[in-house]
Amino acid sequence: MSLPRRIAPWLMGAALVACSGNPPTTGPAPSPPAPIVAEAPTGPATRGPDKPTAPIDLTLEARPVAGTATVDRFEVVMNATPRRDLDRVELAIDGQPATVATATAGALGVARATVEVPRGEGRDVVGTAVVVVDGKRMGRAAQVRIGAPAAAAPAGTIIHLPDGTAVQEVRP
Amino acid sequence: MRSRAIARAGLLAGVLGLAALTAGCGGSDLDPACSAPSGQRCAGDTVVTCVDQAVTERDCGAEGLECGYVDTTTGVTCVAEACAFVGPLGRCVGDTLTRCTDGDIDETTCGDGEECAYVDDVTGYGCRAAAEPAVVSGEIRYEDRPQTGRGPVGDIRLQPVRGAVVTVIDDATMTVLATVTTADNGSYVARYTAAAGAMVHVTAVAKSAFAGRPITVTTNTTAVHGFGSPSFASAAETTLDLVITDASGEAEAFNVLDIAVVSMDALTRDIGVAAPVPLRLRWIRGSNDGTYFDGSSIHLLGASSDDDGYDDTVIAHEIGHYVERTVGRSDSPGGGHNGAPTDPRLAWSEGYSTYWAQSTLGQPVYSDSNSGGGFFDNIDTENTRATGTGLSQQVSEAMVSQILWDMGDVGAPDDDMVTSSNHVEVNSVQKAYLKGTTLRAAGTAGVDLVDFLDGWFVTRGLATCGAVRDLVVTKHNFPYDFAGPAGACP
Repeated sequence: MSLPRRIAPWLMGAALVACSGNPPTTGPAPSPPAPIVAEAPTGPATRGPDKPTAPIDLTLEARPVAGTATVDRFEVVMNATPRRDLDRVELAIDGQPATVATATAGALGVARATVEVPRGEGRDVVGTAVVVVDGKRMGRAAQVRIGAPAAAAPAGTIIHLPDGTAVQEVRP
Repeated sequence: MRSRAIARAGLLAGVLGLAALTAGCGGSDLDPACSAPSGQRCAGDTVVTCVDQAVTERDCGAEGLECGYVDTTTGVTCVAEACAFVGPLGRCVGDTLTRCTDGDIDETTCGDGEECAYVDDVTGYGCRAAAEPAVVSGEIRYEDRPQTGRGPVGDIRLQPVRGAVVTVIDDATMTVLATVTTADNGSYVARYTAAAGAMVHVTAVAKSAFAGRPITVTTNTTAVHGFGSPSFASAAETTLDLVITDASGEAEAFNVLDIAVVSMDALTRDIGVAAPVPLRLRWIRGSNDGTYFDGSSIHLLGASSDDDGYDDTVIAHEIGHYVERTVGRSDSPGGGHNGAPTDPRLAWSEGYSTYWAQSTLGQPVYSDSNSGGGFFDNIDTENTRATGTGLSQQVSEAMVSQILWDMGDVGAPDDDMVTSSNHVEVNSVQKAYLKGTTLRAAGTAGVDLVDFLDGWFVTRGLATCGAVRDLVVTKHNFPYDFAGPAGACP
C-alpha cells in the first residue's frame, strides 16, 4: 500500500472563474499566473478507500544478483497475502508463471524470479496475481523498477490561461 | 439574424426507409441539400441526401432516431440524440450557429456583418459582430481504448474531445490569443488576432470552463494536461484537426475528462444540480499513487502494472464518491473492500459508487483492467445474497449495486421484478433524501442500504413495495423491514 498522503492546498480555485472568450481584449484582465505546485507526501492520510480490488495484497522487491558484461540481473521477490480464503491463486513475475501460492486468508505466499535488463538500462517488472474467489476470477498487479531509474517524462511547456490556470502542454 | 427552429418531431413521418424522390430536383426546385457542401441536410427527423441532383430521404423518426449532424467524417445521419453532438455551449459550422434547448435543435444563420464565434464561457458560441482577422477551426479527437467488458481494454478508436478548453497560442511569446470550448462533437472555432504569417498553434486543455462541467484533469502537480498542435502561420482561415494520441501520454487525460463530462451532465440533467462542485481528477502516466477519492479530488493510477486512464467504469466509480460527498451523503469508514461482506456503510458507499458508474455509462458491467487481466462484474445478471441476519449485518458492495441496478433498469432485457422505475429516480434519492434527512435508528448508524430504501419509499411512494420486496428480500435475502418513515408497506 502506498504511503498515506495529505493533499496540499489546491490552488486551482481561480480556474473556476469563467475564462475570457473572443475577443480576448474584451475579457477581464488576466490573473497573475498560478504557481505550479508539486505535491509530495507530507503527512497523515486523507485518502478514501481504494477502488475495488482482488482480495490479495501484493508487494514486489528487487535486489541485484550477479550479472554478465552485458546484462544486469535481479532477483525479484513477490509477497502475496490473501485477504480472505480464496479458491485459487496463480502468481506470475514478468509474465512467467512463478508458483501457485497458498489460498488461505492471511497466509503469505512468496514467489521468486530472476529477471534481466541490458546493462545500464532499466524497466518496470510487473508481478500479477490471478485469484478465483466465490467462483469469480479477479486479477491484481504490482510493479518494481529494476536497473536504471525511469527517465522523467518531458516536462512540457507551461502556459497560462487568461484565468491563471497553468497548463502543461505536450506537443508531438 | 435569421433563425430556423427544427422540431424534434418528424416533419415527414410516414416516409419509411430510403425513398428516392426525383420530383423537385430541377432548376429552382432543387432541394437545399443539393447546394450543401456535404449534399445532406436534416428536415425534421428526416435525412435528405442529394447526389447528382437526385434526392433521397431517410426517416430517422420511423427508426426511433433523430436526424443530426455528427461531424465532418460522418456528416448528417440518424442518431439517438442530435443534441449529443452539440453540447451546452453550442456549435458553429461556417456561419450556422447550432444550439440545443431542452433537447431541441435550433439553427441560426448569422446575419450580415455577423459571424458565428465563441462569445464567452457562459454564452458559448453565438452570432456576434466580426472582430478578428483570423480564424482556426477543426475537430479535436483523442485515441481511446474502450473497455471490453471482460477486464482488458480494447483497440484504439477515435472519440471526440467534448467540452474542453481550446486555446490559440502565439509561438513567439507563448501568450494566449483566444480561448474557446469544443462542442460535443469535438469541433471548435477560434477567432483571434495575430500578425499575418505569425506562427501560432492550438492547444487542447483537459479542462472544462462551463459552469455545469467544472472539471480539471491535472498531472501530479496542479498543472492541467494540454496537448498542442504543430505550429502554423496565422492566416485568415485555417482548418486544423487534432488527434491526441495514446503515444503522447495525454489521451488518457482526455478520456478522464470525457467520463467526468458524462457524470456532470447526469448531475445537472437528471439530479437537478445546477452548479456542481468543482472536481479535479489527477492522472499521469506512471503514477502509482493509487485510485481513490480523497474528499476533494480523485486520484487515478497510471502505472504500467495498473493504469486506470482508460478504465471508464473505475473513473466513474470514483466520481460516484464525489457525488455522494457533494450531492448526497456518505458515512463510509473507509478500508479495503473486494466484494466480501463488510461494514454496511462501506458496502453502501462502494456499491452506490459502482451503481453511479454503471447507470451514467448506461451499461451494467463494471470492468477494471490491469496487467493481471483485471476483472469484471455484471451487476445486472449476478446475484449476491446476504448471509447474515438483521438490518445491521455486514453485506457485500456487490449486493448493493445489484439491487440499485435492478431498481433502476427499465426496458428489455429487464430481468427483475422492479419494472416501473428508472436510474434517475434511484440516483435522485441521494439529493432528495439522504442529503438532509435525519435517518431513522435502524440498521447501522450512518447511511447504508436500509436508509436508501427508506428514502426510496419516501421519494417514490409505496407503489413499488411488492416488487422491491421480491428483489431485496427474496432475491438477495436482505431482511429490510419495510417500516421506514414513508409508512409500512401493505
